[in-house]
Order: sequence, then C-alpha cells, then structure tokens
Amino acid sequence: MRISLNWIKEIISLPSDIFDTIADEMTMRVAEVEEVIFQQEQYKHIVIGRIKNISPHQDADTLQLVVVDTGDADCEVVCGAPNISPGQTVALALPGAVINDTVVEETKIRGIQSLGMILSERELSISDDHSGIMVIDDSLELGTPFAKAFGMDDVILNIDNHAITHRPDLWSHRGMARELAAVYGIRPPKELDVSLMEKGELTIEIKDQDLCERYTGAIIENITIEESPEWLKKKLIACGIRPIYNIVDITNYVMLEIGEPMHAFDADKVTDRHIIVRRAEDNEKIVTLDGEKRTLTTSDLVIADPEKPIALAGVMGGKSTEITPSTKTIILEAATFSHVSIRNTRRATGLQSEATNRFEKGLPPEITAAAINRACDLIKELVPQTRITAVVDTDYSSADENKVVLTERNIRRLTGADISVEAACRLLTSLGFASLIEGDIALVKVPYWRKRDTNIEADVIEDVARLYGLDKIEPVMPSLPNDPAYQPSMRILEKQLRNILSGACAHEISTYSFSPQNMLQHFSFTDQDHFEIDNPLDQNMRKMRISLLPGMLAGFIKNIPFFDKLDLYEIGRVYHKAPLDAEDLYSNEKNILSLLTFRKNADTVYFETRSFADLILNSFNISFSLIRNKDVPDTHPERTAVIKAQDNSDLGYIGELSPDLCKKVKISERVGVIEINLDNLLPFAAVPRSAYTPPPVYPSISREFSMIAPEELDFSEIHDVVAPLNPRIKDIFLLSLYKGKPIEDGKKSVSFKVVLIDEKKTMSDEEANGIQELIISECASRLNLELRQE
Amino acid sequence: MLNKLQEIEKEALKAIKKAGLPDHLEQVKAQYVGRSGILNDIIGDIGGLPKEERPEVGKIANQIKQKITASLEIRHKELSSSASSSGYSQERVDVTALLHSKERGSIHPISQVQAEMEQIFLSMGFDILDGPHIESEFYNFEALNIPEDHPAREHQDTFWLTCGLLLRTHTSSVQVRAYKTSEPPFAAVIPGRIFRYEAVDASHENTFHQIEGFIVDTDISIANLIAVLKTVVKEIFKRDIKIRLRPGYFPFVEPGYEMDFECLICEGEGCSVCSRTGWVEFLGCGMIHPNVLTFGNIDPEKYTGFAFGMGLDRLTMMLYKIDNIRIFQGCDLRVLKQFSSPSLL
Repeated sequence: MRISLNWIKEIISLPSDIFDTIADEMTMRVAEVEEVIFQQEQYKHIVIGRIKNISPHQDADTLQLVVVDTGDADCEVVCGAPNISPGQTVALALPGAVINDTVVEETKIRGIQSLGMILSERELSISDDHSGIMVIDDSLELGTPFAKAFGMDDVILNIDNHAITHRPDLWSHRGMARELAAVYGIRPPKELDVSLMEKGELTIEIKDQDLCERYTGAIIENITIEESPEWLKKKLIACGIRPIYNIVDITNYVMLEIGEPMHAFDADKVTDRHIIVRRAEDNEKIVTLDGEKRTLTTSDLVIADPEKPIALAGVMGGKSTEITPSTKTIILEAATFSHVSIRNTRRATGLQSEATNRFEKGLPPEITAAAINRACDLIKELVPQTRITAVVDTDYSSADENKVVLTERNIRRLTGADISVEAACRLLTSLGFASLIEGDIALVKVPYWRKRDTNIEADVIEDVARLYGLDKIEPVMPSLPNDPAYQPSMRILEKQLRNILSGACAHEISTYSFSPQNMLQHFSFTDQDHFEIDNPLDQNMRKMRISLLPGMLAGFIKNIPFFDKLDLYEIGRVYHKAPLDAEDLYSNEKNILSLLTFRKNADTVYFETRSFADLILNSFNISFSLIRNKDVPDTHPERTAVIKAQDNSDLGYIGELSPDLCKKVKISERVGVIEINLDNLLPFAAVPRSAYTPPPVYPSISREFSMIAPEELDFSEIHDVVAPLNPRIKDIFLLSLYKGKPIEDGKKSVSFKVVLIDEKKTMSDEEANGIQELIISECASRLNLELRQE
Repeated sequence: MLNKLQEIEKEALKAIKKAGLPDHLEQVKAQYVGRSGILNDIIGDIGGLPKEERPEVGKIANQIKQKITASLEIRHKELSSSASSSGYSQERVDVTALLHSKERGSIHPISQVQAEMEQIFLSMGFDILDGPHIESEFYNFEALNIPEDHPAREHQDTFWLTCGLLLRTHTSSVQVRAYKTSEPPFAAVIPGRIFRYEAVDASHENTFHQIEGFIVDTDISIANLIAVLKTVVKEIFKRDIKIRLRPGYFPFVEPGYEMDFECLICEGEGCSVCSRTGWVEFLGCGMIHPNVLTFGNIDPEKYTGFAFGMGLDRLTMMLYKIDNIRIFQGCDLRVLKQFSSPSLL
C-alpha cells in the first residue's frame, strides 16, 4: 500500500528532518517499507515546454519533427503522437530522465537527431492514458521542472501489505499518521468524529446481519459529474489510484484517508431508493461494472433493490446503477461487510481491489459514519450546489469494548526488558489506548480501531515492545533443558545411509511426494492405495506416492543420455492410504531408501546393485539372506530377491526393473533397483555393535572347489549345504560363475573357496582332506554337483 | 707439511665435486678421510714434527678433515636427491595422471544443509523432532491459532487431499503435537519437507523445506529469542553478524517478528543482493501465542515460549549461490553431483 507523506503531513506535524530515517523507523516499529519513492527523483529532467513548430519527418510518415521551446532554449525532438499541434504546452523529458525504467538519451530516430521525448499521461504515471501526449495548462512558465509545476514533491512509502494483514486500521493515511505520531513522539491526530446526524428518507434493509453489521447511506442531489481538482488528483496519483471523475475520486479519497471503502449508485436507477443487503440466490445473475455477467451463489453478499441485485457487496458495483455523466442524484454507501464473505466472493470472482483488500481485514463498524460525513463534506466542497437530502444508518454492530489487564510482571517476563507499567501505558496512550494504573497493574481499554487485533495481554505487549524499541532489548541466552539433546534414530540412520552410499559413488536425488501419473500408470500399483490431492497443481501430480520409484524413474531417465553409469538413490517418505485418526498420521508414513542403477552395455547390473545392498547391510553388521522371488511387482521375475533379516522379517528387495516396465518407459538398458524399508531396517541398524572375536590362534587351511551345477542352482543353496557339514568350516565364498563352452547347455561352473580352522589345534592336511571329500560327496548327492575335471 | 695439507684439501674437494654417483663418493671418502685415508696418514705423521709446531698443524689437519667431511655430506645429499642418478628412471610414472579414480558420490544440498543445521541446534541443546507430512487441519491451522476464516490461510496456499486431510504448509504443525507429549521445558527443532500450492518457477516451489524451532519454559522472553537467533546466525556463517527483529505478522506468535541479518555482501551499506536495504530477510519468529500453548495443554499463565521458522531451501541457495530453486527437485545429476560432501555428522 502506498502512503503519501504530503498527505500524512496534513494530518500530523511530521518533523521535516525525518526523510532519511522514516523508512527504517517504520520498518522497525510498524510495518516493512518496501520502497521509498521520491517524486522529484521520479520526475527529474522533465520540464514544461511549448510546441513552436512541427514539420514532417522525411523518412517516416507517422513521425514528426517537433521544435519545443523550453524557455531558454529550443529543443528538437521526434514525436509520433497523433494529437500534437503548435502552441500546445507539454511535458518534455530531457536526456537523463527515467521513463518506464529506461533512461532518455539523445538518439537518432530514423536518421534524425532527437533531443528528448514529449510525454503521455501514462509515461508520467498520472493516468493510463497513452492515446497521445499530455496537453498542459498554458499558464505554466516554460522550463519549469514538471515536478515543481505540478507540485509533484511528494515522498511515497510503499508498505508491504502482508505486514499489515492483521491491522485494518493501518490501511489508511489516518491510521498510519497515528502510528507515525507515536513513533516520533509527536501529537497524535485528532480523533475521527464517528457520530452521525441522520435525516431524510432512504430505506436500508439488512437481511443478513451476520454478513453486514452496519450500512450507512446518504442521498445527494443536484450533483454534476466532472473532473476532480488538481489537489485531489495528485493525492490519488501519489497513492497509485487513477483519477476518474469527482464522485469516484472522492470515494477513493475517503478510503485512502479513513480506510473505509465506499460506493456510489445512480439513485434514479435504484428502484424505490430502497437498499436491501442480502445473500445472493443460487444462480442469481449480475452484470458488474467491468461488463462481466456473473453467476452468484448463496455465499455471495449483494446489495439489491426490490427488483434486482445492484452490486456485489464490497467487491464491485453493478452496471445497472452505474453513475454516468448525466447522473443527477446519487446514493452513497459506507458499510461494514463480513470479511469472510468478501474474501469468498473475491476468491470466486478474482476481483481483488483496494476495497476488498481493506474489507478482508475486518473493518471497525464505527468508521462508516465518519466516511459518509467526510464524503458529503468533500462533495459539497467540490460541487457547492449539491443538496444532501438524506443520511440514514442501519447499525447492528455491538458496542462492546475490549479491555485487557496488563501487569508489569508479564511485560518484563515476555520482553525480557526493564519496562515499567507506567512507561508501557505512556507508549500505549500515544496509540490511542486508555489505561487505568493501579500499582503494577493497568487496565487497558482498546480503541475501537484496534479491537480486531488486540484481545489479550500479549497483543498489548507487542505494541509496547515495538514502540519501546526492539533494538533496545539486550539479548539474554536462556538456560536450556539439562537432558542431552535427542535426535530420532531414523534421522541418524538416514544420515549414515547418505554417508555410506555417497561414499560408494552413488548420488542422492530428491523427488516430489506426488507420483507423476505418466510414470505411475506403467507400474502395477492400485489406485485405491493412494491418497489423492483434491486441488493438484497439474493432473500429472495428483497422487501421493506409495513408492519412490515412479518419481525417481522420471528423474533417472532424464540423466541416461549424459552418463555411462548411474547410481541414484533417494531417502524419502511414502504415504499409503488408510482411514486415519489425526494422532496416527505420523506412524502411517513410512521411510524408504530406493536406489536405481544402470551400466551402459553391461549385463552385470544386478550384481552392481546387489553390492550396494551388501555394503549397506554389512555397514551395520546385519546378517541377512536373499530369497529369490518372482512376484515382487514391477521387477524382473528371474533377477529379483527379497532381503530377509535373521528373524525372517522383510527388509526390502534387490533386483532389476521388469523388462516390460522398461519397455513402456522407453529404457533400452537393464535398470537395477533396491528398495529398503527403513522402518524395518532401523531396529537392526540401531545396534551395529557385535561382540568382539579374537583372531584365530591356529592357522587356517583353504580349499577351492570348481563344480558343474545345474544352471538354476543358486549359490546360497551350496552354502546352505556346505556350512553345517563340519564346525571347522568357517567361511564359504564364491569365486566365479561361468556359463558357456566347454560347459554343456543348462549347466554352469561354480568355483568357491572354503576356509577351515580348528580352534583347538593346528589342523592336519589329512583332516582337511577329509572335510574336502565330505563337501564333494554331499554336493554331489544333495545338489547334483560334479567336480569339474580340469 | 701445511702446504701438503692444503693441497690435499684442494684435491679432495675437487674429487667430491666430480663424483657423479653415490659409489664414487664413497671411494673419495675412503681415499681421503677413511680410516686408512690420506689425511689419517698425515695426522699420524704429526708426531714427527718439532714439539712447538704440533698443535698448530694438528688443528689445521682437523679443520680440513671436517671441511672435507661436510662437503662429502652435502654432495651425498645432492646425489641421492637427484633422480638421474638414482638408477630408478625406468620406473618413472606420470604423477598427474588419474587412472583408477576413487569416485565419490554426492549428497543432496538440502540434506547437507539440513544436517549442518541439525548439528548446530543439537550442540545448543535443542532436540530434533519429526512429524507427518500429511496433516490434519487441526494441527496445521487451528491449533496454530489460524481458524477457518483467518486471512493467514490465504498466505499459505494449501494442497488438500480428497479425504479432508492436507499437506502440511509448515513444520510448525509439529509444535502442538510435541507440546502434548510431555511437560516443559522444551527446546526442539523440526526440520522437514513442507508443501504449498504454488506454481513452480525459478524462485517458487510447491515442495520445500523448513526448520521450525521453539523453546518453552517458565520465563522465556524476547531477549532470549534474540540471543538464540544471534547464536544460530553466528554458527551458520561462522562469524558475528548483526541481526534485527522487526514487526511481522504470524498468527501463531504474539508478538510476531521478522528477523533480518546484516547483508553479508555489502555489510549493511546496501547492494543489489539486499535490495539496497543492507539487511537480508531470514526468518519469521515471535513469542508463542497463548492459544497455541493452550491447544498443547500447556498453561500460558505458567509458561512462555518463542518459536521461529526458517526456510532451508533459501538458506541453501544463499550458501551455494544457487539462483534457481528448481534444481532441488530437478534430479539433474550434472548439477547435483557437484554437491560432494566429506560426510554428514
């Protein structure tokens, strides 16, 4: 919101030496100032000139060569405006002026030197008019800076709207003046007169009092619709509002001054001059001032006459009662509409405006009277022959006061600063609060314009603290709880996994919690398992993920063209749909680690992938077994195994994505995949220490075996047969797998090594040979393995 | 005799200089200063000189012996450091070549910064808490003093699920959950993923990350809030940085503040990074609203507290000078692989 300091100075006597500090003071004590605009800077290098003569541009039909007299010199410029003629007084931008964020320079336009630019109203930020140059009053002395000639000497503060969300009172010059007076310790503005002298006749009927607490109206006759005077237009321009004609300008002016948005109807178009405030009917139609036909619902509030809706309350007037140049009598409206209703209608229609911005904050009903009075006065001032024939008020607002008990103990306790209750009350008085002090307690009466945001002691202390000065509060370190700081074990596990995987050349990615539909559709998940978003940003991101894979795969595919090998992992949450109580929500979310692996032109992807799983599980000393499983959805039936912990619980799986899935998402290579359920892993990972084993006392003996096995035999089966054969078998590991010549089809060669240790003595070769024979015979009889003949 | 000594010295030094291999040098050493070398022979002859000359000649002989020994050592070092003479020239490798690289992966920048922040807060005594991403309206809004018709709901555009639950718009949603679990004092931070219904562009995301923090105890004050934030900022940037609180509006705190820190680029002078203000907006904070404490079954008469919430994505962007928030969810390994990390604590 834009605040004109010239306007503020008419309300309070602002010291003159504050321009350097005012933005900082406002930001630190009231609300953030986003920008300070000095109009004199804005209009620098723009002067008043008069067009002396105009000649055609030799190379361009639409351009003309114009000589402008700027008092002490003539200036030749090229101009394309359609409305120029000799003798016009104009605003001329000289080199150095900034127009539309561009610096004006001497330039050649179609080969002719141009020393400046004649400006339109839009280029001067005065109005939206860009149909031609702005033609100015002849009485102005040539060469006068434009800013001076038009009194454009204002300084404008642009306030962050978000910072005053809770402060309806600050959406006006009077409200801001009150704050500034308190900040600078100067005399506060005189309070608004909120009394009303009712007279004449106007029927105002509020049917839905929950949506409209108060409606104040006035009938003004014998008006003339004309342009507003310069002083009024200047203020509107400073605040970023385009002047239109007197009545609209006055309603806007009152809104900027007092904070109450107003509306004016052509009284002769309002049936029976009877105003009804009511909920719209479902499917009721209204054509608004912008010419749009709008269909309403019962959550919209309208102003109506007995026949038709005549305005969308607080949002936009209706076309049927619009003021036109021939309007003679108007009905002025100042009302207090429910902020909830205004917001709903604004959201439904998208009609955001200065008025809705204010109404949505919840305006105090007191100010409708002041607004009507102020508007009537201004109309009378601008159009003296008008007659105010009726002023009528319908008021259902409550006159309750907010009173807050303020204790010195709580001021000190909450601020940590040494502020007495007297000092606090002095600061509050400057904001219009009244207080009654007894000992170290005060009873504080909240002024009506602060009723919305001031209900409890902390609200009052907020005002005390900011006016006292937050920078004056000395920092004090609190004493923190003595218990050692706690960290969830899942968080520790996640960090450990990142270190393990990234230490092993894998890269962490992060994907959305929504599964992309274009990937998800190729997976075999069922729709019912997914939470669905009611208002998705895009239809492709409608379902909450129950697996990291669809999202990861989308990211994975993007990287394939750039790399010969990829190991991407993500640690994230998945969300299985279930009927849930608010207290169960957290335990329903599961933590998953997924990894996708790819090696260009290599068939070893499964083994690369498996090595990541081993790395992870071995890092935590977790014993596990791999159980071949053909039924893990979306994985390769012959290349997938489930990971089981010692207690047979599922930790996840290792495998490759199913070839069908890869085909559908257009990946021509094998993709390795790991999914580990971290909630299941956690109990094993949280106790990574196992008991110490001393080194063997007696030497070990190794025996290597090379055997021919049926192709479908998994090494784990050999391991399971060999391991229990003799207690001296300490380790069995795979050396190589080989298929192809000279091994016959349907068979493979398996080489493995067995390590033997006797814990009581040095084992003899004979003993080792005995075990070796046992292994060979058992493998032969139980697994149908034959020793490979070299 | 002295002449002879000087001659031997000259010869010896010359021979040392000429020696091109350690073996040659050993020969020279034996020849001149070895047990049966020339010098020892001469020293043995000193006994044959007149008594008054002996000390003088002995002294000079010793000096020469020392000088030769020193030269031998120097030359020895020269020879052994010179590759050309080491005899290993056949084994030379290209020491700049990297053929078997120990590759390292990368850790997502948000994970890195989050872990760093967690470490800072743990060291200060804050617990780390966690909560659900899918939240109830109660914990995300109502319990935080944002009733149904509150304008603040608009500033936090929300993803709603068809079942009536929502995606949390801030990690503040874990506050009241935490309060319900035990009695103050509390000091905790809640890092995590949050969601806003917002179209994605270079500076907007629908998924981002936040750290909420709070302390609740019998007499927690604004002075405490300032001290803690000052320490946090100092720990993040590893130096003292000026901070300031200014009025800001968040319904779950009263009073509510925005915290800025002095711009690191211009040190408060005003530059393009800080929009010429000298300050960089960093986080929202304030004293926990009594209604919020009450929702968490904490007596606001007995306890006060402060809370703050900072954006991890913006901090990460600041720390790595990232100008496009989309890289975080973008999965582009060409970008992400740059974020290597020795290890997370």
